[in-house]
Amino acid sequence: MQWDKQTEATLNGWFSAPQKAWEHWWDVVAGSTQNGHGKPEAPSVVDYWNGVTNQWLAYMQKNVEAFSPMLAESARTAMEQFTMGQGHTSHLLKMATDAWQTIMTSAGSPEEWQPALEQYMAQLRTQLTSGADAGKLYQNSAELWQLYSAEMQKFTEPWLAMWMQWPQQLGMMAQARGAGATGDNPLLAMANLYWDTYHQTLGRLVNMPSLGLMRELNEKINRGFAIWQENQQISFEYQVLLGDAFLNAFEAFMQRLLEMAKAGNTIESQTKLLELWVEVADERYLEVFHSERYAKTQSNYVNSSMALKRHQRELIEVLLRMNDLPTRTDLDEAHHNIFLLRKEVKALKKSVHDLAESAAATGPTETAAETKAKQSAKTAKAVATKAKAKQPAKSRAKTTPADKGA
Amino acid sequence: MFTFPLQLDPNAMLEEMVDLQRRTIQGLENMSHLREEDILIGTAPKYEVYREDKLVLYRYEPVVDEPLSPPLLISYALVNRPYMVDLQESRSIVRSLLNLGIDVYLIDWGYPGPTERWLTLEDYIDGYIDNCVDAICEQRGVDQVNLLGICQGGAFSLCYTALHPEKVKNLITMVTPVDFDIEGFAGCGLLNSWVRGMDPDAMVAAFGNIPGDYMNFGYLMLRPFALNLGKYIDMPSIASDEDKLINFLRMEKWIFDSPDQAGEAWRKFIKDFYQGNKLIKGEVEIGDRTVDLRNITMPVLNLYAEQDHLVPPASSLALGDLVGSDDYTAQSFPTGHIGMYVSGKVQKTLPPLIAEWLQQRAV
Repeated sequence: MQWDKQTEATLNGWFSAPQKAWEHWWDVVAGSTQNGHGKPEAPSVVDYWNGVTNQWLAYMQKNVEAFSPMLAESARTAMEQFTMGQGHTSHLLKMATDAWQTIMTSAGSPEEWQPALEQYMAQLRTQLTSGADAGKLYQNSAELWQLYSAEMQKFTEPWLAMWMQWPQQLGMMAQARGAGATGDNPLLAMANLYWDTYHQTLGRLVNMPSLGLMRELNEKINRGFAIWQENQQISFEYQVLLGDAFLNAFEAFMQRLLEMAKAGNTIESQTKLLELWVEVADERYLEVFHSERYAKTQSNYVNSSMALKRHQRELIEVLLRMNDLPTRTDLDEAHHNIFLLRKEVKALKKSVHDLAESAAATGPTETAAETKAKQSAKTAKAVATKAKAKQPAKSRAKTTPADKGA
Repeated sequence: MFTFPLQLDPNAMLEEMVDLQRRTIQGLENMSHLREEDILIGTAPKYEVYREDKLVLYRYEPVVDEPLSPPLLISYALVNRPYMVDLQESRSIVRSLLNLGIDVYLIDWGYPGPTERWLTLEDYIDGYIDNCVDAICEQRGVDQVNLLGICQGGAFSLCYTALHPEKVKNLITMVTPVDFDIEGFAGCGLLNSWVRGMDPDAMVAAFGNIPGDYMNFGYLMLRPFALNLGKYIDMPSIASDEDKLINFLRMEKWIFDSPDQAGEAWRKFIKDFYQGNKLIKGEVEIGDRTVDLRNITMPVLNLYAEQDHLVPPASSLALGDLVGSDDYTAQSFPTGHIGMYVSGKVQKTLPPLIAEWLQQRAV
């Protein structure tokens, strides 16, 4: 297959058409940086650039997919990582170009670059923290509101109070300035308001004791919902922290570009751009990773996720038992018994081995062999007893007759 | 005049992109000829000498008529696979040691499954390692072995040697964590602080065995952009050269070939070593015995990496004040954790150092 020719023809096809647009994009960027004030005449060119690279990425993805069945697992994974990196470069370049244009538009001289950068980052923070996440909160709240409206009229007041406070919280978010790093994050305040309201209403309901034939299942469902809610909250806090880390990294990246500009240094390839980003981003992320706050938030997130995972399993097990199907707990018990039996067999084999060695050394006198056999049996029994003693009380109680006889 | 630092000329970018695409296609073609089995790892000739459950003890075929006695037993970490010590022919600690006249044995811990979930540290240390030592002693007609413990395998080796000092003639630890309360900067020692607040009981209850991929994610987050993006920037160039490609993929294969961790052993290791820092306090209990590092009175060689972000140098160096040996040597290498196995420079110096150190203490 002539992959090279086929690819080149395709590439030439869709690269030749946008050539002028690319040049136009360059003119725009260069123009805005040369006069320091000129508003970009055609900001859509940057978007166009992004479109071209996305198209290229899609094509690249198709190539990887086409080759995928022929690739070894290690090779396919590596190529997917590479493609992901190219996508990252594309987004990074767009973000950097946008930032540069904005900063150059508002700054008249290199002395004004720093405040312009800070202002740009503050705006970016506001956009990123108040956009999608606020929408998510609204969506979750709306769902809860429906439940509440239909079945829990008596919980009306706290929810109303929350809705009344919402506009005030949105206003706080709009004024956010690097708030995440200090822990005083309006978005978190908003989330806390949401969770407080939840605990005053639906949270109370799900914590009520369950009754009746379906008590166990209901209790697990109710408790699971609370665990899930908690996990969502902690996950949200963790994402906010990572979002802050990204913004800090991007700010440092732009800072580095400004310093390069002042020194007259340039980056002339996308690869170099990505290398710079990797260097700067790792530095900033690691600063966050080393913080006590990150360690605590990450631990909370992991622990909460484990609690959720465990509870989901318990819930599934109730349903499996209802349908007479084996559960993970049943399998664990079986595997544990196999583990213990394996230990006992090993101990017995060792005893037999020792016995055979001893018999060979002492000769075939019946009395000596009998004595050794008794000693070996005693040793094996002691090992088996020791192994059983290490089982949790619950497991010991469930020891099977076969196990006891081993 | 302001200079826009991103001097990405459209024509140059176009050329860069076309060139990248061309090289990518070439790389994909090269890759498509490769099968997973072509990515050969651990090729130094060896044969099985002992097997227990999923563990296999290998002896590498000596390349000299009379290899040094007693043999050297390598105990690798449970995390990742032990073939890292024999990654490829030109980067193999094992091959170098064999060429220097060392008789090398290696424990392959295998891949723990559901039945291994209840394996304890006692099973690993007093069971598997001890049985391997006995098997070697029986087969080679010796009473002791030289023991080389790597990373977590080094911590196991310290415990084993402290509990069975009569069976270890010389002890070598390599990139071995000893003090788990060390935290540096720029990613160094991050594992220590990250693990401190986690609940191992909850993790074992949820997972059973701890998934290797889960652990791997944590390691990759120690350098999130360099390890997930930066490493792949040159992928097309690497892929267009078949030798470079295979070497690259060998490392990729090793990184992502992560066995699950036996739940009970992992729980105790996290609680006692990472969270309790009990090894340096003399409070680790294996079975019904306490690990006292002062029982390690035989010669000790402690090898560590100066830029190790997984095991900070200070963590390894803590060993010097804790062992009872009068013959203690610490030696650093100017590389990172992984560089200890694969750095060309380290390959030239580390195996000869081990061989010479053992030969001087062979009598």
